[in-house]
Amino acid sequence: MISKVYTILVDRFGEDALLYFDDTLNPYIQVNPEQIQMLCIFMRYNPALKFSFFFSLCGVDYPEKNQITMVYHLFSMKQKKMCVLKTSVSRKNPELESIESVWKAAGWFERELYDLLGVNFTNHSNMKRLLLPDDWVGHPLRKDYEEPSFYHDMETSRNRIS
Amino acid sequence: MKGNIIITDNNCFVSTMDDVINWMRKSSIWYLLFGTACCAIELMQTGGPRTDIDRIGSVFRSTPRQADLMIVAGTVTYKMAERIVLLYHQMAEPKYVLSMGSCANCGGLFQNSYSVLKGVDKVIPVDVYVPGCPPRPEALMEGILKIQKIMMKEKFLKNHGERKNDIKSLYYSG
Repeated sequence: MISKVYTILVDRFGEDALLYFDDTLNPYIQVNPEQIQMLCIFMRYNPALKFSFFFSLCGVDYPEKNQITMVYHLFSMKQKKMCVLKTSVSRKNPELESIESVWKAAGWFERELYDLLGVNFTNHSNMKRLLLPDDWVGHPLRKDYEEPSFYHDMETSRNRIS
Repeated sequence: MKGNIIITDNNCFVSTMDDVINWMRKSSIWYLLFGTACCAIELMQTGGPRTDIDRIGSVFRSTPRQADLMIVAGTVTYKMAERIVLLYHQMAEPKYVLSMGSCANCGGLFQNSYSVLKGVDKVIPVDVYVPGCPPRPEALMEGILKIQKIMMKEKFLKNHGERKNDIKSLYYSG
C-alpha cells in the first residue's frame, strides 16, 4: 500500500530524492531533508493521498553515522493507511524546515525535539524548550550527553560529593 | 493522650502544658494539598472512606500558610524541586515533611534520569520516609501516625515551636 504512495510521490518529486525501504515491519520512505516541507504539503493536500492526520514526530540519534534521523508518522483518513517518512540531518549542525505550517500539531513535537536532541527547526513560530527549564545546558537524549553534578545547587546524584 | 495525666475529680484532670498542646497539635495535622505524580492518587485514596485520615483530624489545606505537614507524593523533577522548596519556606513553623513513595525517597524508578531529583531530602529535611511504589493507604496512615509520635515527644513551650529538623540546622550544622 505504501508502495502506491511511493509511486505517486516519485511521479512528483523524482526518483533520486526518495528511497523506499520495505524490509522493516513498517515500510518507510527516506526523504531528502531539503524537500521535507514541500513533500508534506503534497502528501496532505493531494486528493489521491490526503494524509490529513499527523501521528507523531520523533528523533533518533546515531553518533556512529554522525546524524540525527527524524521519523514522521502520518495517517490518511481517506485511505485508512499509515505512512512513515524518515529524514536525516547532520549531528553537528542539525537544521530542518519546520512543518508547523502544514500540521499545526507538529509544532509541539518540533519543540520537544529541539529540547531533547537539539534539532533546530527553521520558520518555527516559537522555537523554545518545551519540557526542560529554559536555562538547561545541553540536550539530554543525545548519546554523548553527560549529566552535570549540580543543577541550581541541587546534587544530581545519590552519592555524596565531598 | 497518655502519660502525665492525673485525674483529680470527675470533671478535671492535671497534666503538663506540653502534653495538652501536643495533643491538640497531633489531632489536627493539616497537610498541604499537592501531588507531583501518581502517588497523589494513593494520597487521595487515603482520604477516602476505607483509610479515612479525616478521623485523626488530618485534612488538606490548599495554601501552605495553613499547613503543618507537607506530603511529597511522587517523582520530583528539578523544575518542580524549586517550587517545592518555595512551598516549604512558605509554610509556618513548626512544619513536618513526609516523603511518600520510592521516587520522593531516593529517585526510585527514575533515578537514572537526567531530570529527576534523587530524593527530596536533597533540598528539604524529611521527617518520615514511607517506602512503596506507591505506598498503600495503610502505609501512608502509618507514616502520619509516626508524625504524631514525633509531635508528642517535642517540648513545644520550651522551644517555641522551633524544631531540630529545621532547614537552618541542616545548612549550618556543617
